[in-house]
Amino acid sequence: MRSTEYKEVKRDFTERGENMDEMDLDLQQMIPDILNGDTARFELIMQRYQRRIFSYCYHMLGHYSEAEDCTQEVFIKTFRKLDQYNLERPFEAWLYAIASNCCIDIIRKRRLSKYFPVLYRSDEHNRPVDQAIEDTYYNEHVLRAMSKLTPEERSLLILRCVEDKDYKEIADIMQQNSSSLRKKFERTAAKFRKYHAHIQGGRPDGSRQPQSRPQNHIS
Amino acid sequence: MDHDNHNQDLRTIFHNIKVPEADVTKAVMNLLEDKQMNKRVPFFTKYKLSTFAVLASLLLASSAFAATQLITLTNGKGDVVYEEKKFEKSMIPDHTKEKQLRSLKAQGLAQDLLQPGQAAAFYMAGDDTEGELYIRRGPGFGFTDAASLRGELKQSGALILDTLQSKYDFATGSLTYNSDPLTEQNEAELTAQLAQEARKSKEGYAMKSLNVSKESWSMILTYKGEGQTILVQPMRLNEKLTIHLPEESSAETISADGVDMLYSLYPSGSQGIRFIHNIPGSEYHIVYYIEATKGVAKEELLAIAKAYLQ
Repeated sequence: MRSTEYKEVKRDFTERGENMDEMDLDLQQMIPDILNGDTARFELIMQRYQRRIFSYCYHMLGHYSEAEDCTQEVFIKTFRKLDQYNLERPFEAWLYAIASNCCIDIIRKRRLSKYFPVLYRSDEHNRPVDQAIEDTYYNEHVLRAMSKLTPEERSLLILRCVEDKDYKEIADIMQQNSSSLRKKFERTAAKFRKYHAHIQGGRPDGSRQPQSRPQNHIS
Repeated sequence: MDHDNHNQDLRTIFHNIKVPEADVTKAVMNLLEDKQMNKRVPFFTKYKLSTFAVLASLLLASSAFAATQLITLTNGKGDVVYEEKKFEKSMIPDHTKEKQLRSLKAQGLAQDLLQPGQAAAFYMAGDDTEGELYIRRGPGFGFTDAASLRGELKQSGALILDTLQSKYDFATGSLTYNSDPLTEQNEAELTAQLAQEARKSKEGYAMKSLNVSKESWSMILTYKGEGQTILVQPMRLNEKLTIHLPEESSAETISADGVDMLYSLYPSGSQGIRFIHNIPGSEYHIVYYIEATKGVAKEELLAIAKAYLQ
């Protein structure tokens, strides 16, 4: 009889409607090696997911350097928590959840910095002007409309419209029910459209009214 | 993906935003290695045996594998159709970092490019003449009710229950069809063809869709009730399935209604049971694996398993 050998992924339980067996197959082979001391293999995980995590952080934070720092922090935290990773959950969803928490922490600190500038002063003021300009998010209207959303709403919008995740995947990341996420997304999308249209001046051609000083952070 | 077209305007707004490049790999790896954040904890003491997962698909090599203890199950004809053995690194020689990365990339491509129900062969080119062929499936079909899944799998011999033991209700189901197996010759020809294309392409890979057989598939079903979860994982196959485990299998062979079953109790308290269901008049059989959270009694798990023998 013909035979096939598998080093089979066996999970305790899955809440998802997808067969996860193959999705994380090589990761499941690497994670034990990393935990047993082969740190170098973590680089493979970074190479696989870094671009997406950076993109997510960039859209969440609207700032290149902060997104870069956040991405770094995400992977360091992932490494530190690797022994806590629960195979019930898809690895990518777990990674995005860490990224989401990281970004939300930064956004909260920004808000606090308005009230406690001495405690939370960033070094932005010490940076050369050209670097500050490069750090600026590409689309100011989007940035300002996003600033009207809560961090959770922002995350939902980005996961759906930028990362193209379906509701089941988002449910895994945000650990919420996919039906309620669907409703939340529709409300969030409506909210974003309203603010975006308002910021654009309500002009069909998207041309701008005179703007006040650009905001290069969303908080 | 369940794209809702009325949000296409938002996708357009965000996808028009150019995301700059960033690479923090070196910074992170330097930090991890310099600060000796390496955790030297033996893997086996950290991972729940029940959730241990190591996955690659290999064609059967030969009896070159170390002859360790084998736990097996047979079909109605007496052929061994399932076995568990301890994983040895020698089983996959030359499994370099670059090879692992190519395997990962193939998986990523499959998830990005394939729809549910599709499968493809990906040739991932490495340096010089290095490279491998990977057979990958797309995402599974998701189901939220047992009736729809039953409709999809009519005549397959699979039993899809609405409820287990009158208290665990069907929660989710996922179904993935396997690709038609390739003969050795077909595989060699496909490898040669795609290798040539891959080396010419900028992306360093080439792919070809494969026919998918509705005869061979795997499913993951979850049932929930009374705070417990039951996982039912049937695989419809016409070939032997070998599972590699991190250590010698501790499964116990028991008999239920005349059928041999492999029962395992895991350190976490959860338990699993595996058995073969023969499909009358078919060359295919179904390997069932059922796992339950620790709040489910062994007798109840056995009763659930027996329900699948009808």
